[in-house]
Amino acid sequence: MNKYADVVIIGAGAVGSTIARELSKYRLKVMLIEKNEDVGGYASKCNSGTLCDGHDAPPGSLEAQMITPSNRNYDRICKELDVEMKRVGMIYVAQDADELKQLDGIRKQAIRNGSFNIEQLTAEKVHELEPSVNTSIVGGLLVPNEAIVDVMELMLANVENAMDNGVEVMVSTRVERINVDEKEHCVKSVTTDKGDIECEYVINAAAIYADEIAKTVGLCDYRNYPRTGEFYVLDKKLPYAPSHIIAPLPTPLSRGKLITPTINGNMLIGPSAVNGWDKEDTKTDKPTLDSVLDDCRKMIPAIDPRDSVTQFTGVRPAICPKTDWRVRANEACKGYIEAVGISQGISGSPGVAKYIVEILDDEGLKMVPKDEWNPERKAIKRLARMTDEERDAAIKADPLYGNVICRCETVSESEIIQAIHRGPGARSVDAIKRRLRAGMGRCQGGFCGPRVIEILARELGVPAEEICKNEKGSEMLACVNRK
Amino acid sequence: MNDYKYDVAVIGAGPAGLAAAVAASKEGAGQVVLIERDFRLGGILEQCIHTGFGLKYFGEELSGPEYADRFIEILKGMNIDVLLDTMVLSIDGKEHVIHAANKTGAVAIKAKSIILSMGCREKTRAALCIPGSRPAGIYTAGTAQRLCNVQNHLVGKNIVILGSGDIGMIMARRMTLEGAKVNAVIEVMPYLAGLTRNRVQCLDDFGIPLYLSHTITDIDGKLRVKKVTVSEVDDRRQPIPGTEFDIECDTLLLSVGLIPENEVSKTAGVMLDDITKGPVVDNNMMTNVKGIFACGNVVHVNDLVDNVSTESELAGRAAARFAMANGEQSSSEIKVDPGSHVRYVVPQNVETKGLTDDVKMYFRVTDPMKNVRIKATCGDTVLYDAKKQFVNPGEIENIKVKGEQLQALNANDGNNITVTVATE
Amino acid sequence: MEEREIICVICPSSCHVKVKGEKGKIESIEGYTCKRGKEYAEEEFIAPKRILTSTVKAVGYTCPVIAVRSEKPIPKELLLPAMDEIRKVEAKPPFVIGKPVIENILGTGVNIVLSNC
Repeated sequence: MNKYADVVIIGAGAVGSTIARELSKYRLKVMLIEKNEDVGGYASKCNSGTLCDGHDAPPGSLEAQMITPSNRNYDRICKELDVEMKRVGMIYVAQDADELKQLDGIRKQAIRNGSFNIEQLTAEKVHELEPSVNTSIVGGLLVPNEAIVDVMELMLANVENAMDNGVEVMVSTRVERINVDEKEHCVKSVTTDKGDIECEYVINAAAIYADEIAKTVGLCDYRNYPRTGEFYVLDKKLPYAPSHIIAPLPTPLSRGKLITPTINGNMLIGPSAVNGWDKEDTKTDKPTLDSVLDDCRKMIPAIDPRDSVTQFTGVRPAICPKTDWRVRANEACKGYIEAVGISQGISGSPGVAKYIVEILDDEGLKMVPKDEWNPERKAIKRLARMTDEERDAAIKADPLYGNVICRCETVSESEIIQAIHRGPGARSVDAIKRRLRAGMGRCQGGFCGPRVIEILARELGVPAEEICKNEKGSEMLACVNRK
Repeated sequence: MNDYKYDVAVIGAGPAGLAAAVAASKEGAGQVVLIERDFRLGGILEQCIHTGFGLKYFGEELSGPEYADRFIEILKGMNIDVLLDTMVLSIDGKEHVIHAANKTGAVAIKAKSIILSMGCREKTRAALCIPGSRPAGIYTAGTAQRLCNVQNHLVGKNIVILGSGDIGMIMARRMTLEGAKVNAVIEVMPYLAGLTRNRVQCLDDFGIPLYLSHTITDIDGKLRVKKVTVSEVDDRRQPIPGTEFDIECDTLLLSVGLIPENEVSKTAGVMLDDITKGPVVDNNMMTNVKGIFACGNVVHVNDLVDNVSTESELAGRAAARFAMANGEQSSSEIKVDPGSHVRYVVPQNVETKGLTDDVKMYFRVTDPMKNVRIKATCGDTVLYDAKKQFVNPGEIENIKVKGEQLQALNANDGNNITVTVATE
Repeated sequence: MEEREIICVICPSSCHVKVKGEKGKIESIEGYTCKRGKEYAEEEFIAPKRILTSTVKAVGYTCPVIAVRSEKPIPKELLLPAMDEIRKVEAKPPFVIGKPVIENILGTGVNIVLSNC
């Protein structure tokens, strides 16, 4: 492969996918490279799905400057991208007088960060808003701007819109190194495992792998390491489910173990925060899962692990030394731009993307806006969200909408086929799961799994034995039985 | 939209739905419809290719498809409409309208009586909170069975099975016969969950070790299962530290329990029993919603399909009578409670008005016990009292209570019927 | 002299029957509590038999395979060899329950027949 791009973006997680969409507004040849078999990155796929409002960012930091305006803009962005978001608000709960005092500190910091509608709550008000909260809670703090969203859906929408507007996306493509011209000290190309891409600008949005990319340019003054977060996903329509995000006082490591209603109606508890060594380790373990349960039950005592739909581990891209977000051009190597050390990625990525545009402009890239840029992306029409009449019309237009494949989440064959063939199409069981929720329900793919494998094989024109859960090596089936 | 009007609509054409539809039609219901999400009738029986069905009902040893076919043949000769590839999405309990979808469009079926016979789903790894990685190669036994017997694929070659339920043991044999290595069956309880016959013919026959009082405490393997860690458990079913050992494998099959599939029932406003996870029913298999009946595994997980057929015929007949009676029926109900050593009883209510037949009560005990006395009482009245040599949680017990005795009870006394089991 | 403990599967009592014998002849048998149990244990000891159920490739059917079974039990030790025979055959229309797919499998006098239609 011999390719050329003006800008190569490494990593299609929250940050990379948003930058891709932003850059698609300009007359540039942009390539978005992702090493996994699907877009969505790594940490960005497994988190609590919150669009933070920036109240708890260090005041005056780049993080705060990125998150706060992004949060305020997300209503418009989500409308353009046809992605559902809901401003459910977050309630901090205090267990004792000491915590109440800390809450006051958070409130003051919030106001410094521009979250003016933050509201102190008495114990009575907390229980009025959220009856299932522990009666021992002595008070709370309401942050109305905190919102929930399906992060995968949002990233996918960004990528689909970017592709629609001319961005080229390559998945299952691993960047091995950035090549620098020795004399000019500037980026000349990127070497991937699928060949080289000549380019002038490279944006390192590789999150937890950013340090490994940076080392190839010889410009790495930090180390990325994993900070795992284990979650329980609980069932829908639970009697004790809150309508706000319920939060404890934050710890130095993280926001703490939250109780989050998800945009799809489930309940999420977690994440934990444990520093580790192996970036690839996504195992859950009993002591940590138990700690999630224990800590969340301090806030909502009725939480029952038997209401579990699944448990999973997300891996935060922690960075050492911990500084402010690093979104900057590098002086030592022209064309090498970093968007690293970012936490709460999706919450601030629109701001980061706009900042990147300014940086590229400063660095001499001609940023000519496209008149024909199309801001709108339409999602796949979802059977689960249709009224009876809409359902009837959809099926009459496309009978495969009437073939329901996933019983638990009401997903039809038509949606699965669409997901395989549009944008960065789904090629694996997990890719289908993340786009359509088929396999995320109570039966965890017990019913739809065999059918999804069949449809993927048929649509991709490959034998069913080649269909993977995610990456190559995770084949779902061993072999055909009777040959 | 396709709007249909029926006397009786049956949801699910597995053994329960088939028997109920046939019985409803035989009882005199003019218009009966059977709604099935799969491409053929028979439900779960179509993938249960092993034998052991029908010993009670037909006096023969049949395979699952053979058992289903007996009812399908009868059904073909009757005036029963069949909707295949049709998924029921919700029920309007008040209006008695079933909302479904198939390739022709949104389907709305209004029926005087509705019979819920959707069967069960399997308990998942996540429901047990088994820690570890989430690789490919973890399947519930029933899903592996469908993949093998219907879609002609083997899920793996080197297998460990968690749970000594019948489905797990059957799949142990099935996979072994297809050339896979089944390393072990792991069971958390100190006793077998399924039938002894299956232990002999599925495990012992093939030298597959059974580890009672053990569980799986970790799953390893990033992309595909690599190994599982097995630990012994104490009498509170907690892992005993230091007893861990690993078994290398590429597949973990789970046979850890069935859960009645009542998401659709909930949309109808049907009240569920917290222990069975199925609808609360009376001796006519009617739920708390008038004219909505339930039968088969959707009510409680049965051991023998033969019993499912009998219970479902009862529901079918009652549903037909309700449809033909066409209106309000007065009721006089007495609640049935599980007493000592009894986990649950079905039916949970007895409708005494117009009761002529004897009532069969099904229950499961909480522990295996020997030489017990089974009693059913209501206040001071003894409805049933007999001894039994063996009872165990893996096998449903049943007792018959005389209709006249039940009718004679006064529903306004405030007494419930209690079923108890005690050692002598 | 062989001694085996056979778990009877005729009824839920699951009696453990101890059988001693050799060369197809039973010397002693104890632990049973009924006639059927004794007969079961005797047959299990001398010549255990099992019904074999499986699938065969099906051409012109709604699924790629169709269920088959041995009409009657066959000797236990022939189960795996019988599987080799089953892997070789294909079922074609018409698909009728009871239709033989392999006749007289491995000389047992038992047919492998279709178990679905």
